[in-house]
Amino acid sequence: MNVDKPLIIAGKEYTSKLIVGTGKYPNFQVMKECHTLTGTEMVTIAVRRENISDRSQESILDYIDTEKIDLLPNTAGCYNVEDAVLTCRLAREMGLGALVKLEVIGDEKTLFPDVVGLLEATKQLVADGFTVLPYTSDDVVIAKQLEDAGAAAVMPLAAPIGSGLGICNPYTIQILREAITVPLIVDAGVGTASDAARVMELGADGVLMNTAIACAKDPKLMASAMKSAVEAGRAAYLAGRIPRKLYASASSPIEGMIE
Amino acid sequence: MKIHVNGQIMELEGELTVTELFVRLEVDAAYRAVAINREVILKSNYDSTIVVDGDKVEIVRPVSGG
Repeated sequence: MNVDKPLIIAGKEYTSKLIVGTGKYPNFQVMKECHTLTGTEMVTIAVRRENISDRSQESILDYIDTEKIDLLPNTAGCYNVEDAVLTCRLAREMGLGALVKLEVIGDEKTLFPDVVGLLEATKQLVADGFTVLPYTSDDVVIAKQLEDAGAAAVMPLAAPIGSGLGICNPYTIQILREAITVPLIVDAGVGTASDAARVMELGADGVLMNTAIACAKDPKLMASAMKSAVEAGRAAYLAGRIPRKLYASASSPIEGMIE
Repeated sequence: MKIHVNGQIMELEGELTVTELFVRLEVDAAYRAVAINREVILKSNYDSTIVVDGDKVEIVRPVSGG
């Protein structure tokens, strides 16, 4: 029998294999409740300018219990290595720690990663003591290069950010599962619970999502669904599914049939 | 002197430290970070780092994001 292992990122164990974003929720209170319902132990945040002229805005940190949930600052919106590295250093100096979700975006429409810049930024950040979780494509070549460069996980997209398309190419995710030894966390593109379950059935160590929960018609119900889906998918993976066959194989015995 | 703070021009009587700038802007430094001319300023250097004429200051905070 396969006993499940926790998700281990840079030596820290996480029981939950579901990492959740903090963007696009109707409000911070709903966001907080969704996080609780997912059982997540890590949420992403972005790094942006202080609003100098309007000081009345709420702080997102008032809605995240940092005793139970680790913060994962991202470099969303960074289109070059210098901006991404600077953003990570600012996040660290904010007191958010050295764990970062590294994004170096290459295209505005698809928000696909610029993998060349991503690899360079990963090397610089690893050398500077960061724990780097790079948001990458599902290309096994770049994934292995990121792993060799010291990335603490590899986070391939399933589909464009916020698209809800689900897993566009399950075969490349399977290939990555076989090739990568650091945690494989599928990040981006999940649309509904079955997508999350499928990600875990393919053998991913974790899944990261934001829009699928935040923009669902009922975010809190979707948050619960995602928790169940990730657990079910992981259990199914460990249970070992039956092979796919072209033809039928009866489940009831032939002998003893009446005439 | 004239500096940029988060993309806006600010006119100040004279130079000031990063700590003094936070006070002037009424911003709590907790969970904030500062870069001047794209160099991150360590919190331990806020009292000793002087903001001078022409500096481009970025003060950032955590916000929602995926």
